Amino acid sequence: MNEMAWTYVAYLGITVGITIWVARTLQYYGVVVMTRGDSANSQENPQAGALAEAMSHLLVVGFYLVNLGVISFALKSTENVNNPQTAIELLSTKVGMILVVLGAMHFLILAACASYGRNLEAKPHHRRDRPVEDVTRFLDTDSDK
Amino acid sequence: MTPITVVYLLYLTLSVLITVRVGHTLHRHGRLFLIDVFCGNQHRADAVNHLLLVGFYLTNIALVLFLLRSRLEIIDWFTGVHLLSSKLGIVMTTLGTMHFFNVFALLQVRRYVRRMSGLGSVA
Repeated sequence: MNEMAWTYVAYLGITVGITIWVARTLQYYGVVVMTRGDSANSQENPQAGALAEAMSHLLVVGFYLVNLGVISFALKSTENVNNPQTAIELLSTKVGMILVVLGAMHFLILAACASYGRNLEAKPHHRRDRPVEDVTRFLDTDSDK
Repeated sequence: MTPITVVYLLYLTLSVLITVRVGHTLHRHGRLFLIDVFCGNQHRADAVNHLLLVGFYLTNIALVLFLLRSRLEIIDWFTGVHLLSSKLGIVMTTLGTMHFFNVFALLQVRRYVRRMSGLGSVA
């Protein structure tokens, strides 16, 4: 095998490894974020834990698809690699690009987890679509003064 | 077999494998999420889940077949690997983006259903 093939193998190994590691971390801690620090099998709200696990699974499947797609798409290189120096330069550019994409996807999924967790919360006063409060009672206190 | 035939066969096999595997995973884990979206209406959730799976297969197979043709001249294995990886990459990225759009659209549906029905408890 020449340097180009080694560069490809190293690129695929590093990026796919990092993708799997980040996805596993996201899947585990995403559930914790969604359930607001409760474990997934809490007694108070067991249904929320199951929902959080299903949701994190759905998000992580998308994470894998997009990242492995970008990794595969960005494999091709027109640079001419024939010595270790150019091989390392090419490898670091490619891995760096993939890491930026990974970071952006990570934040997207984290935001999704946080917003879904806000919806899962049982407390009614944290819900966005709560019934509109009756504001006329504030008018009465003003007229008393 | 010429290299281009090998690349096409590999591309089709891998795409179909990814489609079936991902579709199955989404179908299994999305059920609970859809039941939550439709406020516990299981029949409605299962129907939507099935329709989503059929749509996923249709879109994916259409995309895979549409992207099959290439004008690249395959002369060695490197070009073959380049072609295969770039095609699979486009397919997977598109699928992933579509999947995220689906999830966010269903979250909007969830909010809408809840506002219309005036349901208090969420989980």
